[in-house]
Amino acid sequence: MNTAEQEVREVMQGWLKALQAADADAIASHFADDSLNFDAHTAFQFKDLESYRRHLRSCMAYCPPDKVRFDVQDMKVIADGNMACCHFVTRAVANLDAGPMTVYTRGTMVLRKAGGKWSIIHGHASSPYDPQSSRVLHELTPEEPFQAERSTG
Amino acid sequence: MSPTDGTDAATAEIRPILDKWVEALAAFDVEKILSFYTEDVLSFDAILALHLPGKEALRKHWHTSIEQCPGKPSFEMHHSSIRAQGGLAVVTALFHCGATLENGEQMGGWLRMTLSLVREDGTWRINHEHWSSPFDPATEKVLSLTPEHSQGKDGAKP
Repeated sequence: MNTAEQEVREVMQGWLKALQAADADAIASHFADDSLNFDAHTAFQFKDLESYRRHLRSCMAYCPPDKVRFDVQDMKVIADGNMACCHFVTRAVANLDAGPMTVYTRGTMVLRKAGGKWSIIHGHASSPYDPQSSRVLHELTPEEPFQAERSTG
Repeated sequence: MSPTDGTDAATAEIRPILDKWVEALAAFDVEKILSFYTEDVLSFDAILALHLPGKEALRKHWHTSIEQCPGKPSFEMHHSSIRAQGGLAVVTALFHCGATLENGEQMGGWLRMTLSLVREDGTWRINHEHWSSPFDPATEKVLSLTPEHSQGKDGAKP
């Protein structure tokens, strides 16, 4: 692991801690002011940090740490000089009245190092959908990633 | 955005590769499409799969997706932005993807896309791609949003 990769993993660890704390402002502090964000739901894109921060605040209101637990798996980081790209799967376990529900989301982040500090300049989070029904496929997991196998198997 | 986004030689190298890749996508030419990827690519596609690890998984997924496509496909890349450094490049773009049915009716929608490319034996290849459409948390259905449904001020680019 080179130094840049190590530094990026530390930034992503900080981002995850902020997400686990449902602290929208702390999450936003990992992003550059001119970051471009594609989030999993609600809007097509967020073209500045201010609009993305507002979105995070409304999302995090639904995800208090005692109700939803987030973690990240399968993170891969590629860093070269002052730029890096990482991708991973985020697991959210929600404690609902009906019992726990687990949802996996895909994440891709692009980071830039400027003035000695890494920040996220692009985030892309999403869930896949079924084009026949338009339904979001929240039930897919890294172990059983395909809808076709589930519906026929 | 335009090809003038290129800030250095690497971005100028990548632009024509992207154009050829988009041509292959629109032609549904699976083997040609796959030639743009590394063997160990990890793909997050917009439909049907959480992730697709490796070129063989991507090949199978393409064949499944083509079977589901109701007509002649179209892939148009818009607002693309390239950033490259050393042996790593990142592209973001918005795609209009559609199909023309036999009766001439057109259907389609907008997707967000992020790519990362690495230089392998002197050639840029895609080692990660992420395509998606946002969903509506209230209905758990995908939203038919367009670039007009964006929030925030223009100017953001990776």
